[in-house]
Amino acid sequence: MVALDITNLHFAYDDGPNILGPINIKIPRRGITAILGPSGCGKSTLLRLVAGLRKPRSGHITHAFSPSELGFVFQDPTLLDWASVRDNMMLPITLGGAVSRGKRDSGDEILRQLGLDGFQDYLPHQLSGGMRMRLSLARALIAQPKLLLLDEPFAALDEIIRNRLDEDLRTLVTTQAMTALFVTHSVSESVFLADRILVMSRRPGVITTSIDIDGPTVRDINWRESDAFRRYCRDLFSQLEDVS
Amino acid sequence: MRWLRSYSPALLFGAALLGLWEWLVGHYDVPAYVLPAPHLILHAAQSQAAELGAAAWITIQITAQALFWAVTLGLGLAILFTRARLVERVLYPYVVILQVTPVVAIAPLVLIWVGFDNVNRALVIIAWIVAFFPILTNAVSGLRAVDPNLRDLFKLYNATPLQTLLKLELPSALPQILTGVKISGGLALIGAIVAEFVAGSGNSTGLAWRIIETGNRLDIAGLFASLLLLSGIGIGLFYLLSLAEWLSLRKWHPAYQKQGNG
Repeated sequence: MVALDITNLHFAYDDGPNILGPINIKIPRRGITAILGPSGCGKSTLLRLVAGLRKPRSGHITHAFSPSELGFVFQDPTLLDWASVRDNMMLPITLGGAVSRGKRDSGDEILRQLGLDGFQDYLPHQLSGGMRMRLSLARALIAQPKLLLLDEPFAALDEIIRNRLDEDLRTLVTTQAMTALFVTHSVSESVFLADRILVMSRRPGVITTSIDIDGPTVRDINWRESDAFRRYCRDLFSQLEDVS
Repeated sequence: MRWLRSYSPALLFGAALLGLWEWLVGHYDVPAYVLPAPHLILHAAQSQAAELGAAAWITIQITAQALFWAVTLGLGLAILFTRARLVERVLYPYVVILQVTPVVAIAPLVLIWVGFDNVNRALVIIAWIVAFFPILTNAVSGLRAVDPNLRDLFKLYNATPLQTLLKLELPSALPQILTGVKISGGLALIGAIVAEFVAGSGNSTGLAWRIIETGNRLDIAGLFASLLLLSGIGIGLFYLLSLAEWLSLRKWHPAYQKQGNG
């Protein structure tokens, strides 16, 4: 079962040189696929192409899901500064129509799962960096996406919060049977989170390697400290050095 | 108390200046038709309170109407410019021409065209010409400066153009729009005074006409009283608009907040 089928995809700004492509990948349904590559290789552009926020120069992206089943988490929290935590989270629903009682309840449940319970009426500036990022994730989850696209969402956070959010994200994606495409330049984060890692080369970005991660479904500190984890990291470091 | 602490240096300086003025005028025996002593100005303000109040009310009305139309049309045009580049390319040069041409040069034409039967309308239009440009430019740049990721987010969730305007662009541009309104408030008052100067006497005799009239009669104390009232209106307007800005932004704008817990 394929969630995304990307064929011969190229991207360039106006008449400039190709900065991405050719990309040919199939993303399986369920689980997390990480796209790992050096900074500036076009990982985020690829994610925006998948979301339909950019137009490719050529090639095709075939989705198994409708556009309304997509969720996107940006590198920055990307919140409405003037809106409360609840209003920020409910934005995808309010843009689609009225907020029902059921949606409001499920929103409260997502906030609870992400440790934001009790902060519903706070404004973004009253939250810590980690909480703002959790809220951004909550907003993506409220629309119950089948395909979750994440663009280095935890890159700006310190390591302890980042590890905790990685664990939360992994749990959410596996328990809700979602498909997630996660862009990162962190080797350890990709090995911790992903079921499959695609390595991208420098511009023009192409997928050079695909590695399946044979790890446990539920991942925690034990996985991070295992020999297999370290082995995957070592292999990926050498792959990245080759393409950088 | 904080208010007193922050404003007391300026108030003390003003009081010292007034004291020095009073002393210098008395000491050098300066005639009142050249420079009246502060106590004479105060006396003129008291004795002409009714006339001054009526004139100030007319100036305030013209200023308020000009500001209202500056906000309405400036914001409306800004929204149009950010929606349709072609409209902006067609109209913007003319807006700039209107702005850079001295208003005293345009004012007689406006008075001839629309001021014959209703001079107030002409005064409002002249004051509006002076006031609307800062709102237009600030609103255009504010509406254009919306975080591109937030734009992408609204696009991703299929927001309508009206939803994007009301839920994203206007709130995001609000700080810049309010800055524009604050600048335009002062300009609307200047525009109203310039318009009154050009229009001369008539049905609407605002503070500018009081200034001309007291000047012609060499009632310099009365002239100063009008100037004092004019400054008071300007300061009041500025603080009123600053209060509106504070009330609108104090809860969420970084300029009014300490940042979160890291």
